Amino acid sequence: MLLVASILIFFLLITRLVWIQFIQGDELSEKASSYRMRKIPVEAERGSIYDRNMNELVSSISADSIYITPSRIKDKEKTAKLLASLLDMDEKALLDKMNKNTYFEWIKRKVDWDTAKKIRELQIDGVGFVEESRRFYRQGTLAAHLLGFVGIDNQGLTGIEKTFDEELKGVPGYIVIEHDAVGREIPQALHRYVAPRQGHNLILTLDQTVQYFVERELDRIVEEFDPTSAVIIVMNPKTGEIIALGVRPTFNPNMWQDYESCIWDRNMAIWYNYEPGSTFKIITAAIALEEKKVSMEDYFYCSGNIKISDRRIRCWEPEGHGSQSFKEVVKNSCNPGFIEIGLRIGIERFYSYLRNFGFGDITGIELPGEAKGIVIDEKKATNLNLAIMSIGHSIAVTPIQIITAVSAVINGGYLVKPYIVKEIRDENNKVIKENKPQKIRQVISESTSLMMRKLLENVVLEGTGKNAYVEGYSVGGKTGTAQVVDEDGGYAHGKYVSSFVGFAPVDDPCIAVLVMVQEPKGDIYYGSEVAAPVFARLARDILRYMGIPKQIDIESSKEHDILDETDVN
Amino acid sequence: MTFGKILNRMDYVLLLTVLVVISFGLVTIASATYAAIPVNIEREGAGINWAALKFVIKQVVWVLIGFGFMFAIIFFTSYESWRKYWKILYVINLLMLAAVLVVGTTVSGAQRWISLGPFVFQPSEFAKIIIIVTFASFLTHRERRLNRLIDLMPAFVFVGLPILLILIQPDLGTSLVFLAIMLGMLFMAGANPKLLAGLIGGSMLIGGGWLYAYFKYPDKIWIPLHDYQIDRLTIFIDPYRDPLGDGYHIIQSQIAIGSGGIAGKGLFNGTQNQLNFLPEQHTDFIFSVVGEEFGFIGSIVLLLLFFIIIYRGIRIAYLSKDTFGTLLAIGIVSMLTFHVLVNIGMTIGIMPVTGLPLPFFSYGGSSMLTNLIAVGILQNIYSRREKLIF
Repeated sequence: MLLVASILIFFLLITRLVWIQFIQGDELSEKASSYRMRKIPVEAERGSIYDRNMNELVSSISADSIYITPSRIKDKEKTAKLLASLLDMDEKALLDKMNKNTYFEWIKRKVDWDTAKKIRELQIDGVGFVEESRRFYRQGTLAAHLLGFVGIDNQGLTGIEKTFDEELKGVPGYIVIEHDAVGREIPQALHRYVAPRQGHNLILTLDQTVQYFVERELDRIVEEFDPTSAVIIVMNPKTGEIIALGVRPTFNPNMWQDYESCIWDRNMAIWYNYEPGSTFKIITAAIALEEKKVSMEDYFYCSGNIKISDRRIRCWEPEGHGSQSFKEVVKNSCNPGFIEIGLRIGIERFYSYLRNFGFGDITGIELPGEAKGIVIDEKKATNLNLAIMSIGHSIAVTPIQIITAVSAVINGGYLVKPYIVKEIRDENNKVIKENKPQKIRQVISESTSLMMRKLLENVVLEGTGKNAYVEGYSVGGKTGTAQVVDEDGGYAHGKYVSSFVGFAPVDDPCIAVLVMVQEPKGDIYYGSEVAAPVFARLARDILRYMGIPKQIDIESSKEHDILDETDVN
Repeated sequence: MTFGKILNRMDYVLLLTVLVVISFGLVTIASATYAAIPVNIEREGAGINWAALKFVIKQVVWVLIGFGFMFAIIFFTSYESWRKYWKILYVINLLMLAAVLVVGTTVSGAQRWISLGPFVFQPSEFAKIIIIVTFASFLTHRERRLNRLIDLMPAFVFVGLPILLILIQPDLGTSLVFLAIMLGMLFMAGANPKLLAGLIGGSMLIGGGWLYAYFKYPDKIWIPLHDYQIDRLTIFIDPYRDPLGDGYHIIQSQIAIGSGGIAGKGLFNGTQNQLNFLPEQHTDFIFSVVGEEFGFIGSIVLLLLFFIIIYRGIRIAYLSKDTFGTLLAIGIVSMLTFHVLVNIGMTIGIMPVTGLPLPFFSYGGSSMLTNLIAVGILQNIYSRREKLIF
């Protein structure tokens, strides 16, 4: 009886042993090792960013980070004093760290090379170095808003750095240190080094040289007009590739902390909602032509104002333009003419095109913080709204939206998705992902597009956009001067957004450019005077740089076209 | 009886098994203390860790003293003569246990030790032997008169008094050992098995129900235990309830045993042991070191060795020439079995953590001494059994 009882007791113990050692064994083994391994992360080198011609824009340079192993420091007070003076740190805080009962404490991360070298040469016991990488923006402020920047742990915070953080950051490696229950490192024990996987490199659609032209022009705008902000976007209208994108005010991503947050936390090119004014007339004209609501032969009469519902909308030309053809309406940027055209289109059709052109929605460009623009709800829209929208008011767009929509008008009618990253490559230069141009939809026909190009060329040759004229090249475009909406909803007096949207060459456009200047200071504020000359200089340099041959015949025809008309709006 | 006769009639299987278990234990203690004693990292590899080896040496000294007592008991007394002194022994026992409460040293919140010069000993350990001897005498007078509950009452009072004194220390584990000894001996003395089973089952039900009620309504139910005691008693059911506190021992122990696999990680190679994740690894949780470093095979071998000891004990009880000897042997068997069950059970998570050492194995002098004396008693009974062949 007692024997049976004791056999049962032993059987019970053995059963439980089998359970623990065989059935739970692996799981518990795993646990045993995880209890004694400590991982020290080793940062992966963040991928570089190149422009389309493989010029390095952003790279990672190595920087030393200093740590201490408190137990191995012999003279703590002396060491604290020494490090405090070399690193410009608080001596007491350092001493506190040295008295901690740990085996790893950061002292200072990403120290500059000279300081690190000095400390290294001192060979202090218990002071160690870890190579980490620091982000280096080679061109300083160049394309700062587009590139963005990273935080102390090299995490992307804005711009491309943020959108492509996953691709750029790589996979951190680690050093495994075996330690015992009290946290003492075990000498000669397993120290495993798992190498980090370097981040992927990005090749952008950006062209460093064109970006440089853009930055130069933006600087000039700031100098001449001291605007609240300014944006220039250069895009390939056929593919949607962003060739350059610049914003003022700007900052240097290497020391972004030194700037006010409102400078770096928003990218005006994609975030700023503004009323496009006359540049939007390109869209109105394109819709009307496509829908055959207007033909080149149609004539309009402008008396200087037009009455819609019970409101009278004035033309920028108080005398009125009198009787004019459609071509002249576009050339003159005549408000009553465009309002009549808009009204012919009708609300429903107009809205359907707005959507097709991408207004009221993000373009999907690879930058964080894109705004959608503001479009009045179609159900609430009145004819008065339609009239005003036809001339680019009562509707807010972002710079990237307007240039994308205008690109669709001139590229044969296709709405393309703007993009910045051309290729993603791994460290061995193997292409991992290639971004191809994306045609989202055809909005207008090839023939309408052709007509629009000719009409817009005429604006530059004979009309309001003549300051955008580029010698030797055929260019088209449209100016815009819109009053800025005040905080209380009305239009602020004396505050304008001057802009110009243009493209070149007319026959086969390879660049589309938007110049937007918010609230230029001083007497000059018309888009034709503020923005159009910028386009002219920019287009000239870009076309030459791209090696587009000059077209001599235009020059001769231009001769008599420059008239002494006052150029406005 | 002469030395030669006794030598001829000793149970050498038992003796040898005990020796093997003790040697196994010494090796394991060496491994466990090697880690428990901090080695200065800077001087690592400088040679033998004497500080750690001290434990093994001390334990060897205790083993030698224990064997001294064991042989003294075998050769210089005869167990039959002890019956005469049972009353005085019982009183001495109570006085000794009471003395602990007055002059005892407090370690980890429990008053269990008495210092005598350079030695520190734990009276409750020896009390186990004395209670076995005195209770055996007590029961021989009441043989076959243990059928009713009322008959058992004097027995309960007899064992209950020392248990009460031990509970005050507090040492719940040892009090439970007393209960186990009492039940084993009562059974052997012919107490109604149904009555005993009913008593065990009934008290377990009451105890369990009481605890359950306490957990359900902690404010309304009174319980004669501190909260921490209850936590320690019940944590083994779900050690992850407090993985860094009360559950820590159990979790780390199971991890150690589980990660040992079939053949173990090898002596001095158990990471849980060597890196001190295992608490009390040379005393209460020494079986975890066996599981981790010697694996399933090592654990089974150790269990088998214990089984042999217990089997020989039961055999001696049946071969004893009188009831007193039988009851003595069964008392010892009950004590050893309970220790093995509760100690190993606690390391593998089926018993609460009560701090009972593993006999012949855990580091500790009092326990080793007690168990070797117990073996001496078994040998004494065995060597004086009826002459079967003459």
